[in-house]
Amino acid sequence: MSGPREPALLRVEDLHVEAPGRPLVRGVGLDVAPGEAFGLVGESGSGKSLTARAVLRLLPRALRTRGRILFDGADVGAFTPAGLRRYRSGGVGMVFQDPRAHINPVRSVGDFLTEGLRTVGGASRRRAESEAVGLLEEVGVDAAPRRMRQWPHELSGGLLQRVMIASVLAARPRLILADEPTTALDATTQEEVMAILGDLRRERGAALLFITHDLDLAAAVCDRVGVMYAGRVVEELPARELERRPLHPYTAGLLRARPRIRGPRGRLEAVPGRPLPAYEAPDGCAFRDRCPRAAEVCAAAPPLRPLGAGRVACHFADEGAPGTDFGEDVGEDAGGGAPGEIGEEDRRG
Amino acid sequence: MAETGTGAPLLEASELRKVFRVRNRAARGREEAVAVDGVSFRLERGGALAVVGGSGSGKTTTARMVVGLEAPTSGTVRVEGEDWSHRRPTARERRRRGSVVQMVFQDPYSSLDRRQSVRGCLEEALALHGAGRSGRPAARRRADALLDRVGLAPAHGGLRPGALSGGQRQRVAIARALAADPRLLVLDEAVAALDVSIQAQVLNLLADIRADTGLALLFVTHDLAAARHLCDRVLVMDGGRVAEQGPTDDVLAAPRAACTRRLIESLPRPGWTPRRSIGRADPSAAPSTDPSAGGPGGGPHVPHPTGIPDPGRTAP
Amino acid sequence: MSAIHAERVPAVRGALRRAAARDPLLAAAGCVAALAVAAAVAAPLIAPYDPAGVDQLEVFGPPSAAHWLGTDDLGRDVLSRIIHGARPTLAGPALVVLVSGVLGTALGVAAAWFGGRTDAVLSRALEVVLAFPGLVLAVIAAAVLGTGFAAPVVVLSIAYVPVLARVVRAAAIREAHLPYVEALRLQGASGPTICLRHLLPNLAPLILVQSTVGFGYALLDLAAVNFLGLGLQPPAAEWGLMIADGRSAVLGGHPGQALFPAAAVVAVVVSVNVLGERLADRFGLVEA
Repeated sequence: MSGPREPALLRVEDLHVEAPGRPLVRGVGLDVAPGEAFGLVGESGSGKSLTARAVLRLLPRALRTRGRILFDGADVGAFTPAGLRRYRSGGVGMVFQDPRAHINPVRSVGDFLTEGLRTVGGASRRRAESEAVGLLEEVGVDAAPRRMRQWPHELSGGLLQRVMIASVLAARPRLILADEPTTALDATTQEEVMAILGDLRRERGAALLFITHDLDLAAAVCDRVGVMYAGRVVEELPARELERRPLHPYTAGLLRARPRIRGPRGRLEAVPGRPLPAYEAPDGCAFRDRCPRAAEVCAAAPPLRPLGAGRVACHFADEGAPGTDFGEDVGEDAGGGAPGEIGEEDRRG
Repeated sequence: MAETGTGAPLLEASELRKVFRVRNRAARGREEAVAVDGVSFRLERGGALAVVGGSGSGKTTTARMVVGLEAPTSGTVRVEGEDWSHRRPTARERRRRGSVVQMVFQDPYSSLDRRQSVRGCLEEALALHGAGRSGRPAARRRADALLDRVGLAPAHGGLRPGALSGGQRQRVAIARALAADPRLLVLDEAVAALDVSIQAQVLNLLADIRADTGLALLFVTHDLAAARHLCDRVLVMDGGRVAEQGPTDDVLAAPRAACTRRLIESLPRPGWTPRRSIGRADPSAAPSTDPSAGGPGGGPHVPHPTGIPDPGRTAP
Repeated sequence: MSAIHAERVPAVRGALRRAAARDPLLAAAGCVAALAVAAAVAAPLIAPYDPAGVDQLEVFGPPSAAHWLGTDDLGRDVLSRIIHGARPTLAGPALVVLVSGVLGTALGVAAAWFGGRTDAVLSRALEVVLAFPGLVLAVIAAAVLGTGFAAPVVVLSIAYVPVLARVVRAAAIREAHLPYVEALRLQGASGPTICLRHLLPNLAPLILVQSTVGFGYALLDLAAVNFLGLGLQPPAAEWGLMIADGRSAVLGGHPGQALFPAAAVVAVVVSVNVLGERLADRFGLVEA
């Protein structure tokens, strides 16, 4: 363990998740620094949500995991039940994709919000209620005292997601884990929710692990972004680099496949094939069947190696962003990155 | 086929209005919710119109009235000049309408019968539109041709939906819609649930089919960028009303309605930062350090963003 | 051929053994149910004695090599009577489940599909039937129509309809609102086609599970009717009736005559419930 420069708040080391006979996550490593926003981007089957759940130890029992997850230096896998409860209630807060499925439909919004404050925080009923009203107002919910008496089904998805964020904030977590928190919302509400999440996170100095399928969104709201494919991290870059000079052909393909509001209209440059889960992906580079640059060398799995300001798992990456129009010399930045965040993964290579 | 030949547009919706009666616990009874209010538009043969709006804008209800899954409270839907909206169709009429208008739904998981094989699904659709009994070699050939049309292999025909990915299922749903050889395809958020790399494939597929067969598209979506790639014209809805409509490029280049501008601005893109349009309890919208959860001050605020039709929008 | 066959038998045996090791409760339940069905089907071949064969010298004989479960107050072999009794004991609930299953499914799907007034009328009617406990109805039926096998079976068949119909209705409403049903309507498929070719196959697992559970209840209800002397009459061999016959002997220090058929009832009902539960798990249903 070569100590990183800045101690990570969350460190995932060589995480493997496996269903019987089916690898789902194969060796994910990532660091989230205190106060940092890290985006984990991937399509279905990439293992991004499993990784998030593994961080909270919320995986179904049928799945086997290997590797280590360190929160503030402590091994999450070794937590006692009491420690795990403390970790989940105070250390990490989770915002789920579908708030409706994660908020008890037969309890009022007020009950939902005050429960944690009262059982974990030990607040009196009145204090918990006034605090909950304050939280609701902070997340932009109007008429908060009235909302407290309403039922989850009476609120729209956007409002309910804000209630969820308020409940997470109530516990003052040091890391917020958000799994596709805006996927069920329309674009305007999404902007709203992301802005609220971003503001509050920064004010409170909480770190964010943001799981999403939306590269553009992750790049816009995160400091760093990791791209997952078939159970592995294939690329990790500072967010501003990612959109201009993606290193991995998969990332480049995703960026080009996305319809745009400006620029040429015509056909979209789709990535051929479909995203594969780890157990269906070919040996070697999991992306090679879909990759425009695939060659014989791709039969060997490319290690995740440092390049420029980030890391990439592609044999061709140093020849400029492969197959993209964004191709500039990425080598110039080499060495300027954050070496502390690299160590673990490339040793495994 | 029987062309009406009168120069009537393929689809003409005029002054569509839909009022749902909803239970309201607080009001101790039922109250009315206006989902769609005075929506009018035309779609020519082979055209492509996007209906864009946020959730609660009434875009899906509009699409469902067009295909006849909902009856309008008032207003009319005319397809090839024929009024479809004011009579409960018989099974035969539904079949005839089905050969003109078909629909692809948002959720690729529930829009196919999970116990029916892909080929069974396609052959059933073909049989309903006069392509002969399922199981016959001719029907099988046509089902395979449909699979090929949407980029699937004949081997996919033997599978049940559970063995297919989301994108593959949506291709099957498109193939099923094409089985009727319709002139209009209504797409209700048909790519919203798909992975980004698959979304592009399906959008391309739809554009190809339109180019090859002259199939008209009514593309209901919240995604302005996807709408732009598939459709020449766009209609923006907000609060059940038409906010504006026009050629896609014009609307995107110079949006007139505030809600169109909001939709454009809310699309994540390089250099974009999400902004809050709604205030918060304490006026410190700037990231000042305020570690306390915020006192119970505050007071009433800007109305919440969804629902509640916005008055003052102009109908076309 | 025989070589292939010889290879398959151990393979099947191995598979069964593995299944038994994975879920011993399910294996045990399966064995009990299979035994009961075998007894019902092949009673004359399996039973060691005539179930009505009276032997005055062997009254209340204890379990022995000759009579595994002993003999009853008339010297009849208890095991043979249990084996022969399996037939009416299982046939009754099977008929109840079959008839109420067909009716309940039809009414449930009809209520769900047509909705509106049809649904309201059917639902109210089903609630009225549901208000009368099946057992009470069966007792009244016996009083009106007389005793025997048929009357309680017919009455319970009707009494069991609402239970299934309501479950099927709820599931069919959910199913009918799925987009694939809307897609079929837009294709122009007729209502009966959609119901028979699409709704029913998707509801089948639920109906199967509910029927399995209903079988257990029906068996208990019918055994109770016979126990009360309102169904089959002595000297017929039926488990409920056998328990009733053995009641006085229990006090006389000969519990076997009532105890063994009671054990058979419990074993079969528990097994059927286990099977139903496992089926529900298998199909991913949560029991209503």
